[in-house]
Amino acid sequence: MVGLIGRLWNLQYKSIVKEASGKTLAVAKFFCVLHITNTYLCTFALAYGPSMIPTFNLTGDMFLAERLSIKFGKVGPGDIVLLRSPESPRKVMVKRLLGLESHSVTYVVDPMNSDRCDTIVVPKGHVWVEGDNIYNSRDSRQFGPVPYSLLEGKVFCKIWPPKEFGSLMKSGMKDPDL
Amino acid sequence: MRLLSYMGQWKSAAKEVLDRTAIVAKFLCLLHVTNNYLCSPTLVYGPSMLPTLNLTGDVVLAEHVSHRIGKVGTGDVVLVRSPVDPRRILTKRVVGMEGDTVSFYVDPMYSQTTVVPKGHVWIQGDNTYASSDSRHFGSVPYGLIQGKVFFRVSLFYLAYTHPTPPPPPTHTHTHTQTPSSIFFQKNWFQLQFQFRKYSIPRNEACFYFVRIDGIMEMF
Repeated sequence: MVGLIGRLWNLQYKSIVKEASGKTLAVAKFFCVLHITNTYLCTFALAYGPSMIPTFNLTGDMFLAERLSIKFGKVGPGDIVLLRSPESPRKVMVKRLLGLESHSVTYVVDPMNSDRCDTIVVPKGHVWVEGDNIYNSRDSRQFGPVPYSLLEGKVFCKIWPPKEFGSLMKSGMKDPDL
Repeated sequence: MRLLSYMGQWKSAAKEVLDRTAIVAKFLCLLHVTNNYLCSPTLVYGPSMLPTLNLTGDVVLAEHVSHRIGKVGTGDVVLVRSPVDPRRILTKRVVGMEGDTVSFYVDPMYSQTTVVPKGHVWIQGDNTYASSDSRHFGSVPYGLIQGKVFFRVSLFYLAYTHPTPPPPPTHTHTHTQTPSSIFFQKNWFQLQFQFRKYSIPRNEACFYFVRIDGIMEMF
């Protein structure tokens, strides 16, 4: 009698375990697909901070960034890019790309205190990034040109807040002669 | 009527093709995820890490977990994306972490000292005479590190390691056999995996500098 109950319990247990593992596998597969899409196709992210005003708000804007252009080398000056910070490797920041390798970039060194400009030729394999709000942005003017491999994505569309929804393709480009 | 039967056959064939493709795709996905996030065998070649790694190529196992949790330190051999050419991955040794002071020779008479800035590492090849590394392009951001090498997989032919017992000595000389005779024996080919750890502790990494300095001062 006890043996029968034991066998019935095993049977139920087995089917429960099978169903649970099946559902877990489906969820895991879904997360895998999501992760692959995020890493290789398109991802959305929230950016906060003052360095890209007026393009992005201080308190945070959500946007979509795609990863294919970086891998194929199709970024150019004027694009907003996602890049890993060369100073803190766990931080990802959003800046505008102003110069590719061998471009000559002119930048205002310290706009709060003076109008002095400096020109630099971006070395091979590097890019020059700057925030749109040059008064309050930590970018290539402080840490120098950034290796191209640190770029992670190109921002192409802003999705939140809804009234600022829209494409971000080179419309608010800074004057490259500045 | 025959068209309908053809369509039916087509459908089942297409379904089978799709199923098989799905299995292959899933396997490739798993392989890709393992290669990128866990451990991957990589072929490295070039003269810049002699004598640690071969000129003509070595398969090394590199793990991709340590650099994400910040466990890369001085003395580790790492795979790092080149800051000069974003499509190339280099194999070098980490000689200084952020905040460390590194000294290097730009030419045999003149040495320079720099402090590695925040978020960067200083990498050098073991063969300093034929390596383009941080001495040429400066310290490298930590985010460019792709993985840490921990094992080397190497193949040894039987000519170098001989498992069968040596023949009885005919003369009094020690038991040696010419490589050609070994080569043509019955079990002439044998794989041997050699595992050698590559991370050296911090104080030994400093010793690298002292040793190089000592050699240079003799000139």
